[in-house]
Amino acid sequence: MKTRRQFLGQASCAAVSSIPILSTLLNLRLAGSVAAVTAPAAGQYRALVCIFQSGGNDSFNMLTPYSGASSTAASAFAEYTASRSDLALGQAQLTEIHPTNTPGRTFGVHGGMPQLAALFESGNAAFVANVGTLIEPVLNRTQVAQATKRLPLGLYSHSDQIEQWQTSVPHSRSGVGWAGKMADLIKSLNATQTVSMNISTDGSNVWQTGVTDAEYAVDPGNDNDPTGGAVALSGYAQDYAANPFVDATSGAIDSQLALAYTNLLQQTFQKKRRSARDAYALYSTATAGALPGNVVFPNTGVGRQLRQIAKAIAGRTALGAVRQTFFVNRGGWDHHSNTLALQAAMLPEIDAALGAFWTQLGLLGVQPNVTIFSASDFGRTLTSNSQGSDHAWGGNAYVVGGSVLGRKIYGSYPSLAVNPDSGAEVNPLDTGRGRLIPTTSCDQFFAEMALWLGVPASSLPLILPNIGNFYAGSGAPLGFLA
Amino acid sequence: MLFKYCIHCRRHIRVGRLHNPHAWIARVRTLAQIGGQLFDVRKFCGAQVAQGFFDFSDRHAAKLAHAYHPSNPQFIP
Repeated sequence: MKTRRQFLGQASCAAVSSIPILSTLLNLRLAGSVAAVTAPAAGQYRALVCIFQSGGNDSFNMLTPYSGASSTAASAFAEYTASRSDLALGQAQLTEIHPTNTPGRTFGVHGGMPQLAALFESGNAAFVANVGTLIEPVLNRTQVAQATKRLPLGLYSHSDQIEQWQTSVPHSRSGVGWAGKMADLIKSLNATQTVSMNISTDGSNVWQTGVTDAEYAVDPGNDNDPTGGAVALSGYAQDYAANPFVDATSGAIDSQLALAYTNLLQQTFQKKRRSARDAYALYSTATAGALPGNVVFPNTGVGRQLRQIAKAIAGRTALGAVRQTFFVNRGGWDHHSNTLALQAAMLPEIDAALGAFWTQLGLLGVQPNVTIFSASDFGRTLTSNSQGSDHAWGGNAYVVGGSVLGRKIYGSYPSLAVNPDSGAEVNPLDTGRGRLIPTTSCDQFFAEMALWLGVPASSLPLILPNIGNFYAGSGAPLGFLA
Repeated sequence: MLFKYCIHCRRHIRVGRLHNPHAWIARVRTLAQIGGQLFDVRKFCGAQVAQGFFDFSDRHAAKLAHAYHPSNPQFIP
């Protein structure tokens, strides 16, 4: 375990290191591992897009059994139906998918996500099953009940689990995210830091906040004007146009920005304002061009956010970026009631935006260079509370991208059997009401993507402090990225 | 010396002359996005925050947000 002082020292070194040194580190890592995620070549563009579904998506209705047996039942679908009772989807409400690594079993994708299902079947998408926050492997409910294993702080709590999905630090409360730490380490690969490697379409977030770096937040637009773009300092215009008011205001702001302050807080505030002015100029110019192909993005929150991200990717050369992360957020998944209707309304919004984004990435020629992944606070109880479900633990996530080794379900899709209130245990992973212990840790999930983005394997513990409990350091953590 | 636990800093901070550190810090946290850039007040100790506030705002909390607004020429202390 690195101390905070050691981390800060290494992060600072990484921030000022030259590209050749980092390239050497990457090559050394490659030489020492077999079948690992392929690290990017020098100058090769790669980006991660996180679609955060805050509130706790009921993801065992996003990816369900369809045919075949589970470890506890001859018919996995019947088992699913029995456990979910009035939350169960019928097969007519699902799109059947055929993973290549689950012999004898097929699965169902929620019928509101046909494009995701099609991407899966075409080999451009995969699922990571029953993934969640863990400090160390927890194998059964006895270990939970007897507290023989360390458990994440604040299990089943929105604020704690959102934070932990974004920090991958489940053993303590932290405000530094794993994408922020990645930026601390590898942002120097980008030619300029005027616009951060980490771009958010949803304001501040923990995921992209590092020790030395933080996200650059852009406006995704709104219902009436989906254009969006860089956020200008209020009243400031780069071109001193004919408008005398704008001219005067801009001049006043420039004169403010030229002042020196002795107080550290004031100095930093001024520095941020100067950065904002410069970033606005660069981002606006870099993203000014029209996107190719006239792809129609849905005028929804997620559609507008992904459209803005497509513009940032299109402008990556002007931004000087060979590495980027993007944060998308869609809230409202805390479906304690009316789950079926709400998911039927909301999952298509994600799916339609994802489909348009994928088409746009194709037209930009960067499908192999971009990996999209979903995240959410937690999975939800398999049992119904009367047409709704409650906070739980492990859940399912999807990954989409040209580098994804698709048409597979990674990790282990669990038995959906729920233990009875009394009598023999049928599912050791069920801690009660179908709250499933994750069989894949967030650390494994994130490590795969961090390596793909170019973080050296030796630096993974700096980003994911518990990764050593799940990954020996050679090969691929899960294997879903080429 | 006055120390109080700040729910935003998640640690005890030296609050100096601040009478209600949570209110003051929460106010600044709401202004943390400046032209898309994160202004992370959590990285400052209470004394720096207090000094910065009072220099800018002349001890008048109601003026703080306005004083920090980039378009306000009166921002200059």
